[in-house]
Amino acid sequence: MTTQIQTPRRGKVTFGGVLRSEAIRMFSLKSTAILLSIAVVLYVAIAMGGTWGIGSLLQSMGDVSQMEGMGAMTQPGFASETIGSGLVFSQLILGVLGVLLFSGEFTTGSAVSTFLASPQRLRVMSAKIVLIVLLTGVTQLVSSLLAFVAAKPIAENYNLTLDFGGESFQFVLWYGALAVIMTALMGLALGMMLRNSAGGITVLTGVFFVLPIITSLLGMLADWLNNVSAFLPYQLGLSLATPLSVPTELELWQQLAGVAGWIVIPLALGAVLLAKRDIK
Amino acid sequence: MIQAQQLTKRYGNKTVVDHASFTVQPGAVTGFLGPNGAGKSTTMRMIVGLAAPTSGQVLVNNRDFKKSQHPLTEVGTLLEAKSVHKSLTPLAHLRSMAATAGLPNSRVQEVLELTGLSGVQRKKVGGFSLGMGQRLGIASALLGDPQVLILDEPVNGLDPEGVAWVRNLARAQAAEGKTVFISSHLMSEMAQTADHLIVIGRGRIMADAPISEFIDNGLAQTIVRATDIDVLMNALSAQGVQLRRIDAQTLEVTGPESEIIGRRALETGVALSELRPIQRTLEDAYMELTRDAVEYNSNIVAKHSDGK
Repeated sequence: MTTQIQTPRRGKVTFGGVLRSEAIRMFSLKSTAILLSIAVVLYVAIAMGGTWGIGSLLQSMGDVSQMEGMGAMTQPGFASETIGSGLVFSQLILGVLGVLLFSGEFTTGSAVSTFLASPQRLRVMSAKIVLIVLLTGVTQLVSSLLAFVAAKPIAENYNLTLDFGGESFQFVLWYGALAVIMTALMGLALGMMLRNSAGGITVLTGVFFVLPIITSLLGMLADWLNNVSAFLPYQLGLSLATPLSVPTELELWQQLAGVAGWIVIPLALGAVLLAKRDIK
Repeated sequence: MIQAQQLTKRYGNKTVVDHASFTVQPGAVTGFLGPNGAGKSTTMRMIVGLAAPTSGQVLVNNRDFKKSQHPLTEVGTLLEAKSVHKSLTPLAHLRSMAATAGLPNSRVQEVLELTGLSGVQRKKVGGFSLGMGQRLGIASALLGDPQVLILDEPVNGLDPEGVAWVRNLARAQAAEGKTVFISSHLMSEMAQTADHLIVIGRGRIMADAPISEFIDNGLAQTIVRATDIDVLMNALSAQGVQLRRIDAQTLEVTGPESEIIGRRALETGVALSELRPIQRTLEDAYMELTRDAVEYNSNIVAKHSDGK
C-alpha cells in the first residue's frame, strides 16, 4: 500500500506564532488587565505613602543620625529605597498572573486546544516564559518609574533626595524587576505543576509569607537555618532591591545564584511533568 | 490516514484501551462506535498526542502527531469537553489558535460563518449552550482545513438541523478525499453518516468493517416453528447453515432467506406454524456486539473468515 505523504505548505507552527497566540489570549482576558493595574496602582501608592511617612517622621524627630537603629534612615539612598516598599506586593500580584497563565489552561480545559495547535509542549512553555517575563518585567519597570515620578514632589517637600541615577534607585528599578520576574516564573511553574489556580496561588503565597516565619522560628533552634532564610525568595528580592533597609550577609553573586535557582529548578520540574503527563 | 497498532492505555490497573489495532482510511467517513466508557475518547486523545499510550503506537499520515510541524492543517480535532477558556470570545479563541500556525484572520471569519457563529463571535464562550460550544469546537477543528478530521461525539447537544449539518459536513469532507473519524455511542447516527464502522467495547476493537456488512453479511435470520421441527432441522442442516434450537418446536435459522426455508419445509412435508424473518437493524447488531465484549470477539472473527 502506497500512501502519499504530502506536507501541507501552509500552517507551519513557529515559536513566534505560539508567542503571538499566547499574547492574543492573555490580552483578551480581563484578569490580565485587572492584575496588572492593581500591581501598578498598589506599588505607586505604597511608594508615595512610604515617602510621606519617612519624610514626616524625620521632620518630627529632628536629627536621628545619633539614634540607635535609625542610622540607615539618614543614608543618602534611603529615600530612594522607599520607592521599592511595595515590591513584595508587586511580586505576589504578578506571581499570581504567572500561576493563572498556566493553571488557567487546565482549569478551563483550553489546554486541549493549546496543545492541539502546538503539540510540542515545551515550545508552548517557552512562549509562556517569554511572555510572562516581558509582561511582568515591563510592568515592574513602569511601576518603579511612575512611583519615582509620583514620590518626587513629596520627597522634595521634606528635603529628601531622590536621585534617579543614584545606585539605590537603580537597584530598586532593575533588581525589583528581577525579583518580580523570578516570582512570576515561580508562579508559572507552580501553575504548570499543580494545574490548579487556587493551589498554585496558595503555595506561592506560602513560600513568600509562611516559609520566612517558619525558618525564623526554627532558626532559634538550629543556627544554619538562618543562612537558609537569606536564600528565600522574599528575602532575596528585598536584599537585592533595597540593600540598605534589608541587609544581607550574602555576596551579590550568591544572591543572583539564589534567584537563578528559584527560577530554574521549579521550571525544570514543571517542564518534566508537562512533557510526561497527559493533557486533560 | 490513521493507523493504530496494538494501542493500549492503562490507568493504574484499569485498562481503558486494550491492544487496539485499526486503520482509518482517507476518502471515507469512519464511525467509531461504542458505549460510554468504551475507550473512544481515550483512543482519540492518544491519536493527537494528548494522552501517551502505555504501549503500542498510533500514526497520523504515517507520522507521530506530537512531532507534527503543521498540526492544524494536518489534523482538525474536536474533543468531547469544551476546550475553550470561558472568558474568551470565539473570535479571540480562534484568532489565538490561528496565530500559532500563521493562518490569516480571514480564515477565522470563514469558519465562524461556516459554523453559524458570526453573530456571537464577540460573546463570551462561558455563556454558550452545549450546542454552541460544539459548533465552536467544530470551527476550531476546521480552522486549518485539515487532511484528517477527528470529531468526538460531534452531534452532542446539537438540534436536528445541526445534526444534519454535521452529517453533510462529514460526507463532504470525505468526498474531498479527507480522512474523517467520528465517534458516537448511537448506532442510528452512525448508520446515516458512516461508510465504515469500527466498534469498540471495554477498550477492545470488536468489529472493523464496512457499514453494509453490519446489516446484511449473509446473516438473514428467521424464526421457524413447527411440530416436526427435527425433520426440518435435518433438511436445513444439509444447506450448511447455522441452526439454533430455541425450544421443542422453535428454531432460529441463520443464513438462508425465509423463502428458501419455506420451500424446504414444503419439500420435506413439514407443516409450519410460524415462519418469521428477523429484521436485524444496525442497532440490534450493535447491541449484540457490545452486550458481551469477550464472547462476541470470536464471532466477528468467524464472520470475517466466512469468505467476506
